Amino acid sequence: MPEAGIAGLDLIVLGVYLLAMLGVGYYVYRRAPSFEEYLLAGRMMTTPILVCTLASTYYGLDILFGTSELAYNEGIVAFFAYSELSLGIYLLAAFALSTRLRRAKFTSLPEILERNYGRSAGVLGALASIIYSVPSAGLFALGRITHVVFGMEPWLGALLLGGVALAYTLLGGLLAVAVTDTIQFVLMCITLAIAIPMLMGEVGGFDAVAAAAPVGYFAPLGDIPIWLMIAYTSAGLSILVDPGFYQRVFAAKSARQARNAMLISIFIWIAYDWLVTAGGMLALAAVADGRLPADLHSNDALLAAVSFALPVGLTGVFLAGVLATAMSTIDSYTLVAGANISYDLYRPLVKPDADDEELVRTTRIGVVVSWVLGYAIAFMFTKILALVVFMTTLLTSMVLVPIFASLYWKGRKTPLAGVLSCSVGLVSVIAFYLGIQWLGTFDEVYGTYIWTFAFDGTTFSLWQEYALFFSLPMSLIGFILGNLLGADGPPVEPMEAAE
Amino acid sequence: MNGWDVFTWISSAALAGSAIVIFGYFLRDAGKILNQEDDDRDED
Repeated sequence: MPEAGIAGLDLIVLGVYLLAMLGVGYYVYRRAPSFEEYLLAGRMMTTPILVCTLASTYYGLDILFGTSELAYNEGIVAFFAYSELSLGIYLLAAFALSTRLRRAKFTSLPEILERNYGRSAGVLGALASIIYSVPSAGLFALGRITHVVFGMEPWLGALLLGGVALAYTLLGGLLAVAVTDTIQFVLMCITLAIAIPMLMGEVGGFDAVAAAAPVGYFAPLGDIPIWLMIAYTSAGLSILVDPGFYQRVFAAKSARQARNAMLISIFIWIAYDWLVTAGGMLALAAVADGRLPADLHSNDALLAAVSFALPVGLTGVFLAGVLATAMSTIDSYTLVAGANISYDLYRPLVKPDADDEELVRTTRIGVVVSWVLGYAIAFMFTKILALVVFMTTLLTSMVLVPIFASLYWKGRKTPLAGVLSCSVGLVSVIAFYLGIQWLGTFDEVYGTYIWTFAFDGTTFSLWQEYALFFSLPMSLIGFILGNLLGADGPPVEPMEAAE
Repeated sequence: MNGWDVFTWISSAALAGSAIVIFGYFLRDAGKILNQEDDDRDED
């Protein structure tokens, strides 16, 4: 084992955790669930289980290691500017979105488009959702963790541990995912809540961080450009069209339980964000006093710091928590993509009268297909995180406008409006990315393409991250044009009727 | 003690406490959820 100090007891803890996950999947499988039970846990999920599955699904290793890496390098700005600026959007999702979505009794995000704009818009939404949901980033991160912890080849680690997540998802659907998410949520939270104070005690607290830190390390907003800050905040818009979030809201026992779960999750995310940020900053102090190597890779800062601070046994529990963080995201999005393949592509395009049993069967096939696709992408591309940012931008650009028009615009909505809004969103994102890549240069510090140009004596910088500022208005123009030019589609069941 | 140390302790207590309380409530509901019993559907 190359880096973390793992012992036999730690391995036993990890083994018990993995067996428990498989056991839950098998238990649900034995009950032979119907399609609604398989995909939406029978719409029986109460606030506590919703909190666990929401909080653990939306927070993956990208938060655990991405935020701690940023905190290690840049300081407290990781918490204030990068994590918490999206809170307003989360509150909007809790108050405005979750109640309306749950009352309308949808089954999937693309179904909202299908019901309001017809089959073509539904298929476009399904493709966007599949591209967003295939678990490539999660499997990539899982491979990296198993490499750091066990010295295993990343592809093998992702295959073995990602395979466990695939197995219980395949067997038990959302119910198994949510129950395992609950166990994983507790592991994630408790281990982090124990590890960070212990790390703080080991390194001498934030006084030691202040002594080791460069100037500006404690500046809440750092020195990042204001437009980039807005762009990062806009990235939080993705929760407004996140298929995993939608699935959980649809699975809630009531609209009130969905809203309460979202509000409690926000509270948990704030505490979690801070502890992850603190972990990255405390790692800097551990490096400064020689407890950790000076050449420590910033991406490994949190894991390395916690591993030296925790005793044997607790290290294993923490690693189980890290694996839980990854697996709770992989399982959820694998299921979402699988359901998109079955319910949103196969059903409308191939077999509109598919029965319950067939839908469960094709969803299981879809789950395997999405997992394999995610695995292939994870180990085929080198810039996987940049790819994930692109996919997130793509989904938001394609479906945010037509989905919100479906939910809140009571006026005319033509099928062409849905199709044009999705298509123009898609084309404008690709055009913006390619344009900036062609005109700009790659910035090694920020890891992105930036096009700097002068106009009327003033210098402007356009980042690839600004794509949403361009694509969302374009998608809205597409929607308006489609509404003006398109013919009316078949009558749509109004939202109120579904409530 | 540094103010950020205090904030870290508060965050840790909040996170661990929330996780334990939520897990307790989950256990209360677990039987009904796993067996898909719908005796008190809470529509609003």
